[in-house]
Amino acid sequence: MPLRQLAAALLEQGSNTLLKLDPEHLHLLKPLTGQSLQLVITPIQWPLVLYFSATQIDISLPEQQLAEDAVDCTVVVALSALDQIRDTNNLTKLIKADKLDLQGDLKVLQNLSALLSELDLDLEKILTTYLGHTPAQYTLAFAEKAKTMGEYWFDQAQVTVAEALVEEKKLVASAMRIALYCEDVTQVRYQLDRVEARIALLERQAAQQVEK
Amino acid sequence: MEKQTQTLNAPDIENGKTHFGFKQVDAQDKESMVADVFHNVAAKYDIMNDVMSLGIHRIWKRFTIDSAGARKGQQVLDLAGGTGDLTAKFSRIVGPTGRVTLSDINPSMLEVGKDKLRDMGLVQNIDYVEANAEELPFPDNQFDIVTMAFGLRNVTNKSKALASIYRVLKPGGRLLVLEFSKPTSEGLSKIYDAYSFHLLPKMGKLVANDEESYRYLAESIRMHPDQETLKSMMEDVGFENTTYTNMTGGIVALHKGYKF
Ligand SMILES: C[S@@+](CC[C@H](N)C(=O)[O-])C[C@H]1O[C@@H](n2cnc3c(N)ncnc32)[C@H](O)[C@@H]1O
Repeated sequence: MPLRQLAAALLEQGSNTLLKLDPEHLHLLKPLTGQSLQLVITPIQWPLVLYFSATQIDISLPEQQLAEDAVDCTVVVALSALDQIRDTNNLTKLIKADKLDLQGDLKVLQNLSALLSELDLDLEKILTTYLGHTPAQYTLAFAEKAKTMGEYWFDQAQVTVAEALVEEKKLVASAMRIALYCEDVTQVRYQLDRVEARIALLERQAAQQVEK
Repeated sequence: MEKQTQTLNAPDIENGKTHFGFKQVDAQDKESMVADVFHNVAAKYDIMNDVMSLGIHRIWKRFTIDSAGARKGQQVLDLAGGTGDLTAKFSRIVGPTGRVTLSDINPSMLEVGKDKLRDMGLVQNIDYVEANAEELPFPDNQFDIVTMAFGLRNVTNKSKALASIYRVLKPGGRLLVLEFSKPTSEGLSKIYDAYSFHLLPKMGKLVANDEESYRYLAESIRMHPDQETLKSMMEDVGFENTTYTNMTGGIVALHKGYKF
């Protein structure tokens, strides 16, 4: 069973169910209709492609990053900065910090950010429809607690995963560089020893002159 | 039973005769017999697909679409496209600057497809063309991608259809054939046979009130060329870099070939 396609199908189903919970959300898709956006999260390099139409979002998880001209906009973003791209005011800052690279039509990303921020789901209303009033409130209170714990865990995990991946990548890619680095450190240490000896010598000479 | 576990790789046409499921019929009659089958199943086709494959056909189709590598602005032909599952996805991928042609020999299937795609709001970039895969009514070098999902086994002269597809592809274009194939393990083959020859026609009767058509579908799968034979057939008409990927233990295979 192709797992990548299964994951994409589940993700697509989930996103569209959320989007269609309130028919008013569909108008948010209008500015994006006919456009496509590729999101590549580094350092893991997992591409996620979104194709927008008037009634739904199609999601694909290709094996490799698609060529620039295959989609309208490609966003390459560091895992640690993923949260921040929702606010388009952060984009310039992130690009300067080398955490974001944008190719193609920036408007697609701006429209998507607008959709995400406007997609303010009224969970209580939705749950009340399905469960009734009291169970809905209990569920929400529980969800709120779980969310706080989840957010804490996610923040920790995100930092750990990002760091681990970056470190892992560095380690795997640069065993050679580490060897060279050790060599450099040894050289620097010799030079420092030499400088230290020279300073000591100069100090001794200076002291002898003062004595004279 | 032996007949059922093997893919027979029977030649398409011999002495004016061809196979229709396990039956031998006059080659000239197969087209209309296949037309009858799909005319009968058209209305219930989508629901039967989900029931018969437990929804897995959607994943096979997604894999085909991902493997096609379509880009915005491209021209795609969804051949034997029936009710348009692949067309719907391609239409969104190629976007307003591209075009998708949904083509099928059967007007009933095409009509169900047209209604479904319109209901999904997909109207802008799709053309509907009634055509026989053996004689495609398109100019040479027109399409970037041609897909044929679960269609080739129903075609009377498969080599002719493959040559016709090769002609309408642009140089650099690719063909993707998604089709039932030969399970790679003996154990799976046995379970699959029991399922297709006993359960499938019963399910066809229950859901679509049509046991015969679903018996034909099961038999036609066994008469279809296996993975290696289809690969050679594609190469014989000119396809290059031809490969195939087995899915679900070879129950289904995706063949891919390029025209350079
Ligand atoms: C099993 S359906 C597949 C439909 C669709 N591609 C899918 O995957 O859901 C097979 C289709 O092949 C079509 N077909 C059969 N013989 C054909 C031919 N010679 N040329 C074009 N289409 C043909 C049938 O009409 C039918 O719609």
